[in-house]
Amino acid sequence: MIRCTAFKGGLKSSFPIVAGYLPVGFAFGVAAESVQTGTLAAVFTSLFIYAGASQFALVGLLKDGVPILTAALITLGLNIRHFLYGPGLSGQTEEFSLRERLVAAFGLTDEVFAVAFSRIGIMPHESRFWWLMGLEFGAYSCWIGGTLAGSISGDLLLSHFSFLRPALSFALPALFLSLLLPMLNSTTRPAVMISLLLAAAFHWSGHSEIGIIAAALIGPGIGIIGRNFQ
Amino acid sequence: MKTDFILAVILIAVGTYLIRAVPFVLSSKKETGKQNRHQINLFFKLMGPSMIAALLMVSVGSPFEIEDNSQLINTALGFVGVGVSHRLWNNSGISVLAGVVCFTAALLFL
Repeated sequence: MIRCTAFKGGLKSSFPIVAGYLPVGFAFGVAAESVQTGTLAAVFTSLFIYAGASQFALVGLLKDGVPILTAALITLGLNIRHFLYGPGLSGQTEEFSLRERLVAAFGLTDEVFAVAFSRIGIMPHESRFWWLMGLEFGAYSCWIGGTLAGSISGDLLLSHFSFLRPALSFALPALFLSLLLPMLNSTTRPAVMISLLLAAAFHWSGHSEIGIIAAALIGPGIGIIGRNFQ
Repeated sequence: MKTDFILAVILIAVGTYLIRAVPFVLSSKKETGKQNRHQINLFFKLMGPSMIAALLMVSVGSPFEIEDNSQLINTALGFVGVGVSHRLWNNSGISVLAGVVCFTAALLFL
C-alpha cells in the first residue's frame, strides 16, 4: 500500500517533467525522422540511451557525416555530467539497497535529478525508492511516447508541410540553448565562453568533433584555473 | 536499422548507464580526499555546460557557409524566442517549441 501510494506520488511529481519532455521527445522523433533513421531506430535510441541532449547530438553528428564511433564517444562525453547525480542524491537515499540503486540509476536524467533533489527529502524514508520509481516512470514513458509520436506523425507532417523541414532543423540549436541558459552563472560563464570560442574556431576550420572534445576538456580546465585565481 | 548504428546506441546506452550507476553505488560509502573530490566535481560541473555550448555552436553551422543573410536573421529570431521563453517559463520543452515557432515565422514571413 505504501509502495503504491509512493509510486503514485512520484508519478504526480513527474508532471512538470512531462510538460518539458513531450515536446522535446516529439522534436527528437521528428529530427530522427528527418535524417532517415526510421521510427524503430528513433524509439530504440530513446528506449536505451534515454538522455535528451545526447540523442539530439547523435542524430546531428550522424547527419553531419561524423564517423559513428566518434559520434558515439562524443555523445557519451556529453553524458559525463550525469556522473554527479548519484552522489548528489546519495545523502537522501542512504537506505537504498544495491539493487535499488542499480535500478534507480537508469532514470537519473537532468530533469529527474532536479525534481528528485528538491523533493525526495520530504518523503518518508520507506517511501523514497517507490516515489523515485514513479517519478522516473512518468518521465521515461512520456519521453518514449513523445519520440514515437514525433517519429510517426513527423513523417506525415514533413510530406505535407515541406517548410517544416528547415524549421524543425532549428529544434537542435534551440534545445541546446534552452539547456544551456539555466546553467549559466558566475561559475560556469567563463568556461562556457572559452568553449564557445574553441568550438567555433574548430568548427569553422572543418574539425567539429575535435572542437567539441577540446571545448569539453579545455573550457572547464580554464574555468577551474580562473576560479582558483579569484 | 544498420548494425553499426545499433552497436553505437548500445555502446552509448551502456556507457550512460554506467556513468549514472557507478557513482550512485559508490557514493553510499564514505569517501576520502575531499579537496581533490571538490576539484573533480567542479570539473564535471563545468564540463556539462561547456559541451552543450560547443554542441550549440556546431549545430548552428558556420557563418561562412551561409548563402543568404535571411538565414542569419531567422536563426537570431529563433534564439530570441528561446531566450524570452526561458525568461517567462523556465521550461526547456516550451523554450524549444517557442524557438522553433519564431524561426518558422521568420522563415515564412521575412
